[in-house]
Amino acid sequence: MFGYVIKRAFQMVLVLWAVSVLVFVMMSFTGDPTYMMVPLDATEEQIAQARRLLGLDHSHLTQYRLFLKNVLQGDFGRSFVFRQPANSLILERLPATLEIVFLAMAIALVVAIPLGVYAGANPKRAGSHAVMAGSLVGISLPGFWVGMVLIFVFAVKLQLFPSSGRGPTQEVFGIRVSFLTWEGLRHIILPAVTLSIGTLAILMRIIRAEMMEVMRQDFVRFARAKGVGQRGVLFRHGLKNALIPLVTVFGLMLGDLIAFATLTETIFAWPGIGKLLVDSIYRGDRPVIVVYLMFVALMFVVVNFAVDVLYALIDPRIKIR
Amino acid sequence: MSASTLDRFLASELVHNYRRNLPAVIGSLIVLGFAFTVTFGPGLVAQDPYDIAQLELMDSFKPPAWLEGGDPAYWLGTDGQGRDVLASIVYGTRISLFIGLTAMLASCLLGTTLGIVAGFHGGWLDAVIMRIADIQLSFPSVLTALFLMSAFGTGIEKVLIALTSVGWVVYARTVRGSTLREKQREYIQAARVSGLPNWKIILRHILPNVLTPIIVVATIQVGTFVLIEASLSFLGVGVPITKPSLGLLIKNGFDVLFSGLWWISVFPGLVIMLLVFGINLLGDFLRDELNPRLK
Amino acid sequence: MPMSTIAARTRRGVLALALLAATAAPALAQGKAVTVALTADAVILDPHAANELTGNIMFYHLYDPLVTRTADLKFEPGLAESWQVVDDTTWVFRLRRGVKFHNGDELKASDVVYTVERLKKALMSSLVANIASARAIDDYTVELKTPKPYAVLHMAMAEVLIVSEKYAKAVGDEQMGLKPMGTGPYRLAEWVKEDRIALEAFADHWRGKAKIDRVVFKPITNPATRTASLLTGGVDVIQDLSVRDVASVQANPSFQVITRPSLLNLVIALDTREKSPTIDLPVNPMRDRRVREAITRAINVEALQKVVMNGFSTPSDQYVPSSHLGYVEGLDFRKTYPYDLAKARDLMKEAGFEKGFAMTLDTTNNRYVNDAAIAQALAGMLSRIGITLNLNLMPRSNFFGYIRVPSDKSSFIMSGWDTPSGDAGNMYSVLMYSRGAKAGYGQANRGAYSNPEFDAFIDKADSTSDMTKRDEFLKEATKIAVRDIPMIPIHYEQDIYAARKSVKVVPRMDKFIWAYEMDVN
Repeated sequence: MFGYVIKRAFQMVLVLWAVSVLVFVMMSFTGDPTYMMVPLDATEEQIAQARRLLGLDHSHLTQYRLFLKNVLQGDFGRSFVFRQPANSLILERLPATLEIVFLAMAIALVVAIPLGVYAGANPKRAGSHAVMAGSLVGISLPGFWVGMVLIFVFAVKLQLFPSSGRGPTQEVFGIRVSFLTWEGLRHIILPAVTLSIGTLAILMRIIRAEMMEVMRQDFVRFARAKGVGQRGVLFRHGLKNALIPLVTVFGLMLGDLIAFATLTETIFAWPGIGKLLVDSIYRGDRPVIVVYLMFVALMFVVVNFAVDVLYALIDPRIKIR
Repeated sequence: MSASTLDRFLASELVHNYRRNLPAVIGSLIVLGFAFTVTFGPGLVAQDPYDIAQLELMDSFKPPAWLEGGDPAYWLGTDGQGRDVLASIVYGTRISLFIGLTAMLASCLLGTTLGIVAGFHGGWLDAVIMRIADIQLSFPSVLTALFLMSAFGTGIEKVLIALTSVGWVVYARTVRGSTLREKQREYIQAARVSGLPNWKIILRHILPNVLTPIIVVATIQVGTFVLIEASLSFLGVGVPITKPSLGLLIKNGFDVLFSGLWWISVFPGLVIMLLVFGINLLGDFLRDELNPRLK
Repeated sequence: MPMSTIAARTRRGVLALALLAATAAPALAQGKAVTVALTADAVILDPHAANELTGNIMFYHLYDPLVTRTADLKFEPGLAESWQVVDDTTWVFRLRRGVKFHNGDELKASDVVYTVERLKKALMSSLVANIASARAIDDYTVELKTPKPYAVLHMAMAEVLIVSEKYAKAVGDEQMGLKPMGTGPYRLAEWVKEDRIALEAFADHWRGKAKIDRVVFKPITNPATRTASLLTGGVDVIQDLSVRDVASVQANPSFQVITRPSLLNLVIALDTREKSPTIDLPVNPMRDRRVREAITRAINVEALQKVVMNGFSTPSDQYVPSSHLGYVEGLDFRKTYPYDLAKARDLMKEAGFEKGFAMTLDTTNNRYVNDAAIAQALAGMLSRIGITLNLNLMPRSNFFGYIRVPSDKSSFIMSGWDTPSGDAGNMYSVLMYSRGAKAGYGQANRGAYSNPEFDAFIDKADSTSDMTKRDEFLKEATKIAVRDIPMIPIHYEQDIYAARKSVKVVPRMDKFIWAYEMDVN
């Protein structure tokens, strides 16, 4: 176990380092962000001064060295645009993103589990075919387009939900959340549903496949033979075992949700880290992009680590090495 | 293919199962429909939406023909530049599919090569390639592609590079696994001992064995790439505005959707869905058939 | 207005008043509140560290300049009650007495001197490029020296916002960006990023307390959402009403649509160098004035206005608006070179380019109103005189670096230019003065236009401290530029606002929505 943690930690540092190198190399292709900050009539000296203020007056290599040095002291650099520490910008907007990501995941689970179990247990029924076709459509849909259509129907035409933005927020343990009021919920529903569609469809397929697999296993047949009722077989024996592999895809699902949140947040003007990333890309704000990517990478490594540990706890046959 | 092999192919289990599999038949019909559209479509629509000289600014924002104010010349209406939405979709589908297919082929080639090299050569080369793959897998592909495109700027060839750099990993892993397994087999050990050159071993013994999983992965990847490209273009970092893919068409329509001009974005979205749906139906069938373990 | 909204708004007013009561003596028993939807959130509230519209709007609520610019671009005493030109390069500004910062400190000449010095080291150092030194003569008198005679220093001072020396030194740069403190008519009450910036009237403002007690700015990026928020009562005023929503808002009796031509002139710079980067010919055709004229005549600015801009643009008659120094009465680019394809083709033929040529247009796809659509329309128009215009559209993060002089990648660049200083000299010296001839001149002359005659008039204008003379010299320069066509002016964008009928909104030429000039009935 200890060796495993060390290995994982090493891997994490490697990933973070690779990300930072990659971002620095790639960003050297883009234009010099200084030109966006200074007025169009700026003279050479004024541009040079702005560059100095932004820390862009060194070579890329030196900039990278300085960056690494500062990171080791906990300083991840300052946004060119906001002139604030980039990590505090990310942390400030993180709750908004986590809010829709977790709500989307909850929606996906609540819908996908019963439908997946049904389709897996009765693979021949027409309803199961409908579920499968539906899930395939879900995978084939461009998520951002679904969001647009939802806005058009539910916000513009029916005026049931607001078309964008985040509702009023309350502070809970120092974190600003918006799902505690009705107005806040009204704002979060459309983006969360949009975000959940892809995950929901994939989840449904996985659960169905696992269910079919489990239902063929001996212990389910024994349970049936012992006279356990259909529902008991399905949920106590079937689902429980079908869910174990689900734990492993949790990390992947979370990653996808965070990635697609960039699109969802852009469409719904949701003030989370995804919108911040897209805005920062438009503005050439490298420090924010670096910190965003490093942060997301860190999150995945941690989640995957947790998943591995959890998996070992659930399924004693697996040893963590 | 000689007559007898064709007969044998038609009598095979694959074909037998295919005929009995309605989704697979529907999927291939959809894909065939798209193949037809992208090949002959440009000749069938009246306008070349890329030829700026053909556009009539005065015809902008016309609704579909069956709605009030519609113009029979433009079945699905026009956009803000006076582009026929139907023609734009036909040309846009060509670009989307071209990108999907080309990026898939490039990923497949690169990934398979790296996978074989890693598996066959082993050692430090294997370690380096697989570490890179690991790091890449710790990021969702959309995010990686988005980041790459933001650094490259728009352009079809840049989208291809971005997609290839996220797409190769899945082949490399699959192929490396198979290669390692095959390498242990006695007949390959024997072939190596007898001095058969490596490339011959790879070509004759290893490639045929990794072909089936590659086909399955490749089919589904085309659909995935079409969707990723659409997402990138939607964010404005994909194809250039003068050559809009389906995703860019949706983006163009997004800006005016709220003013009630829905046809510019809704139709291209439906087309993407249909295209990817068809590809996925086929992919599902192939996976079930070629990879019975996954059934 | 529905009853519930009135009640809600009154409640809000009362609340604002209650908040105010803690800091200021209770004024009249009424609290007026206005909510304004802007297109974006501010990024930083330090007036010396950024130059973007939302930030600028906030800066002028929180801070004051020495000279105030009115909505119509007139210049009036601000924190300085008077000023005089002592000699060619020396100006003296006399400060108003008893001006209070939000924290109660009094404004002193030392704050002005500090502001100039801070700006010199800041991102926006160009704002004080025309100040060589600043010196406090006494607590209420500041002497400013310019590096060379500069007739419009007072106009330039309208963009220099005065900060408190003591406060700025005490809190440091980072806090200056988060917690601004100035002499402006409003003080910052609350800033929730990407959600709202709330300001409250500063009771001790030297001009008198603002009529609106509390103003809240909300960033709403999507134009349709902005319109919807106005119609459903969430906000009272919106910036940038979508062109497509104008008719529906106008039809509603409770709302008004306010338009105003902006100062932003969309211009195309034509490369006049011997060899042009994107033109695959031994000699750049655009060196020939006839080709430049042909291109001008092939561009149908009216069609752009009608179709692409939906009528909401003003075709440019010159390089600067009529309110500016250097504008020539009666001279109209559009009348000199009207849209005329036949004539354009003839000119191309005369110049020996009947078959046309290909080049690339570099412009943005997210900076100016409908920029990408304009670019595509331009390509269509130029194709009719045989010019194949390839489009290179970039996000603005790449654009300004890409087209940077010496523009070795560009032949044909479309970008915007606005001169809120009210003076053509700034634009001419930066965009059209010969490159590399003099420091601080021609630094954005992207087409490398060079005409000694033109340069001479700019030199003369910049060496007089007499405004009338400056105006005369600049007018001569304008005439030369219209004759030579180094750049093609296209149109001024139009600013469109919408508001409740009950709210009085004064649209400003500089786009800076200013609550101090607003009122609610």
